[in-house]
Amino acid sequence: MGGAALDPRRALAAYGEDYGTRYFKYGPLVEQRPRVVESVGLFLEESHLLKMFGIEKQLVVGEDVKRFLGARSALARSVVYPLTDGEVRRDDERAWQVLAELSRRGFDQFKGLKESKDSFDGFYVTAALSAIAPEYMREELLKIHAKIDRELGLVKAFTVIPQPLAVAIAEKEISCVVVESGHGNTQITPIHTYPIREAVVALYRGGAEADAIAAEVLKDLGYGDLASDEMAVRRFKEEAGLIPLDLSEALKKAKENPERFRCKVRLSTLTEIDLEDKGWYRFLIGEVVFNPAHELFESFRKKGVLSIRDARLGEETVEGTLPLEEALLRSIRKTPTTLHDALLNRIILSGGNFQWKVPENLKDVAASAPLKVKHLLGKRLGSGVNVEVRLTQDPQFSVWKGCVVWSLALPENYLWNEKRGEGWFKRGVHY
Amino acid sequence: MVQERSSLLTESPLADAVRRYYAELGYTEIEPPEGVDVAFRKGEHRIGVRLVKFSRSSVRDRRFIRSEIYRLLRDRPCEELYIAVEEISFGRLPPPYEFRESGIGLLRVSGSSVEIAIPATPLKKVVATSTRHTLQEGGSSRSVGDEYLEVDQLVKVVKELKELIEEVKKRSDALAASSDRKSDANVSATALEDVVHSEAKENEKNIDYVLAVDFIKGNPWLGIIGGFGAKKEGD
Repeated sequence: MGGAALDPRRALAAYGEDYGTRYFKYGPLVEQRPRVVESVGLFLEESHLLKMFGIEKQLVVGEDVKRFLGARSALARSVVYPLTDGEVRRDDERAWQVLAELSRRGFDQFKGLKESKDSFDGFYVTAALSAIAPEYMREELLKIHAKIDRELGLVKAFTVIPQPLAVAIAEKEISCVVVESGHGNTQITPIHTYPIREAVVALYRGGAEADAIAAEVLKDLGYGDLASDEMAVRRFKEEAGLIPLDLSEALKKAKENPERFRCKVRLSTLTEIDLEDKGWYRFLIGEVVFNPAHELFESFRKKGVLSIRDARLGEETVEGTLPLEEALLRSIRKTPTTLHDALLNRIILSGGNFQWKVPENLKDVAASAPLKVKHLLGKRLGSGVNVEVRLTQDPQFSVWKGCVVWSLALPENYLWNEKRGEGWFKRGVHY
Repeated sequence: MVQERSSLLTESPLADAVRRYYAELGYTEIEPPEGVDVAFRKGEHRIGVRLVKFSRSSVRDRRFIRSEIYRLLRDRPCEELYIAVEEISFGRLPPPYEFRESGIGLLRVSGSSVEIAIPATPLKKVVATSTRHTLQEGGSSRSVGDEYLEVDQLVKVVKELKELIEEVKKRSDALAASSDRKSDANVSATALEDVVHSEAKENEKNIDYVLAVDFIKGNPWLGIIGGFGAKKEGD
């Protein structure tokens, strides 16, 4: 089926939703790029002042949260980040309310389409969830979207797919291993025309752990006050962090010649962080996702900075600190042996957590994420094995792209099957 | 009427949000040249913004914004040009590629926050009033090549405008005809069909553009997902 056979009406109605831990990305295919909003909500306490200004809302989400932020002390109980490690707890009512409002607000921005086109009767929506998201999350999302349709009439059909499958679709790869590393977790999913569920390996570590190390580094450098400023930590991590090709080698070189690894990060006109002779810290920030079990992280573990929980997949427990290459091999070994070589040849890294700079003058010690994974696998399997690793072309938006392709192509009459968790959950049939 | 609309908008919250946004980026507000509602300068670089408030009719809004794109492209009052709207409503705006291809950007104003929904492409040459005079008089110090390019672009814009006027005329005739016959029990559907047909043609063009994006064109998953239902149902 090529592009010519596609239904143009469906192209107008294809809509994607990527529920990430940090950002919610959503929107129709016709916009070609998703809209992005921070995955956060703020519950407003009843206030006469707000009522005077005509604000009756109890919950605000996304960028609106900043407009209503009050004292820092009130934040902890009022601000809700609905997803933790890509999941929402079943009984966390406030988190589900935030997720529902984020989704509803997304559709609300496109209600003009319904008003301007009589023939348009709603979107075909595909949402992407973490490959290890529990089943109740799917069920809750079905309910949320049915409710949105009753309110706005914009959800004609809804379905859910795993995020790694969406990445493979966006990358046009039918047989591959997708390693999706976001803020909350890292999922390794072999795919062969569909995710091989039994072979999924999840690690509960991602950008959040790199943030935690960056915050500790700031403290050690004497900027303890900035360690609690989330934005400052993230900026520092992105500017200073480096992935070492080999951690021990990189640290040795950085300690021998500190001036070469020194860097200054300007966070504002008033604040500049100078790493002085502690340039070697930069490699710890980048290494933590690949191997948090390294002895150098021992002191961070003791301080409780790195407390990575284990993942439970069926009968098996996957240690949170399992080195990435080990996790990858564990996953591939669970697939049929005939697929092993093909999968090793197509490893796709996706997600914001694999986006690291490689300064020109440090190319001998710092590496991009694909090069690092290739190096680790080469060390583990020997240099004779053919391994190919690459980054997605559009790491931030590839999940959304896969979702809209799914919305575009899934046949109208393929209806929701609870057991398989596939197919269209449709207006007039299911709600 | 235009003057009245303009002065109302330049004092609106929409304009205030845009002013704050460019002030934060280090731009200074300047007297807007003809054709834009607010303008800003940083060094030699000028940005002009046309403020648009939506009406009740999405069709009218879309036409109005499209004609503004053509007009800004023709007049080019600043090096970088934007159309600012409160909230982006898909049905009320021309498709994104029309903005991208014209180089006119789109600003989305939501409350007090402003974001660039579609970035503008800086225009190479600003058509100031004096430039237009020179062009007419032929006493320019610019190269013949430059003038040729400019005239060529103007011819293109005029051609597009003519087509647009034709299309609007056709549609309004068809609508008038259909509304005249509405009371008649034997309403002929031809006029309405014409409208729908031309709308469908426009959609087809947009959809072709959408389906040509890199992650859809030639994607083997389209076939797999398309046949997915049949295969799975059989299992």
